[in-house]
Amino acid sequence: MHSEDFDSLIDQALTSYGTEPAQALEAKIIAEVRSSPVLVKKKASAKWFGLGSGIAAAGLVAVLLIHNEERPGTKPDQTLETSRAISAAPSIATSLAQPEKIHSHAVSLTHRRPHAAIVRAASSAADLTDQEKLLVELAAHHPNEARQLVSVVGQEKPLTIEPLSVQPISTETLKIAALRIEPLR
Amino acid sequence: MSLAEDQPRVQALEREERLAFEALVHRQTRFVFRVANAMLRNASDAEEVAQETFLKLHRGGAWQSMRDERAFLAKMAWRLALDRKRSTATGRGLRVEVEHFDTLRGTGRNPEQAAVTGDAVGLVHRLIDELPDELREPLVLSAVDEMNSREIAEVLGVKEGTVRTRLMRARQMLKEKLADRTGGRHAL
Repeated sequence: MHSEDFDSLIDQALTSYGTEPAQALEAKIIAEVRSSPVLVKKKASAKWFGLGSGIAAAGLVAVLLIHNEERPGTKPDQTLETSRAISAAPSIATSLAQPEKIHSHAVSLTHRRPHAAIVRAASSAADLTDQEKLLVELAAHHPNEARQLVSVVGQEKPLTIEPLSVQPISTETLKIAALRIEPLR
Repeated sequence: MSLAEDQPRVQALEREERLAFEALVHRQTRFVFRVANAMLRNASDAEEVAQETFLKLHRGGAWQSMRDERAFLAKMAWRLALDRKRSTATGRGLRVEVEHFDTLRGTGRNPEQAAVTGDAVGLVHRLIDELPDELREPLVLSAVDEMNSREIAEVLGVKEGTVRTRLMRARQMLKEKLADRTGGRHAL
């Protein structure tokens, strides 16, 4: 037997893998599909729709709650703001020395909308720094404290920095007085 | 637009969808059946797998986004057939190739010739069954509706080059085994 004979024998054997299905198979499949068609799909889509609606509703409630908590202009919030401003006043005096200390507080205060008229009056081509914004905010809500603060800051002595003096570095040269080698034993 | 106004449009879309799916069934039933049969070597099991394939496809809705219809269906049918084979634990090589002898009946050969060839083909079937899975699977798939290496690679989840190598190795191994069984009277 030759290699070609083997090949044809293998091919012949492999043809049995290409058998035809029963003629009724197509009809059977179509009937099956028709009997249980869109039900599963509808159930699945209803499930997803319900889940989606639930998530959307929960998100909406969360947004409303957060919004209500942050809304300015209510009485308790104003009281809180006053106490914060008073407690912040001494730190503003030292703001030039330690700006980062009051930064977080300044951000929390400037987060609220300042008085429109004051902002308009204080507006310039350059953006205000955090400290400046804080002062504007303080002046808008508590002008007396702000005035007092400005006068206190004005009375302070200017900050002076002593010039640094650095001594020249000198290294002494290394000297070898005598070299002694111990004899081996 | 009200629900009543939408109703005819929905019905028309559903009808269109159903017709498209039925066209797919007409187009590919034979192919899906053959892929399953290549794995199971049993017509009745293969028919059930073909049905299951189309039902799952319809329920999942994936048929509307198939890029390569043949490759997608072949892969799905192959996996379902593999699951069935594992679950039913149908031993390979236990089934008599009735279909094969039926095809020989109409070849016009005399009974002796048919018996000799039938024995030889039966032997080849047994040898195919004895091949390791990695060689047998691409070989039998290559016999299904002339599936090409790319399609086989997709079904088996291997590279196209690997499929070609395995096909060559499978044929080579079969020839060697055939040569052994026929007493070395051959020239490979």
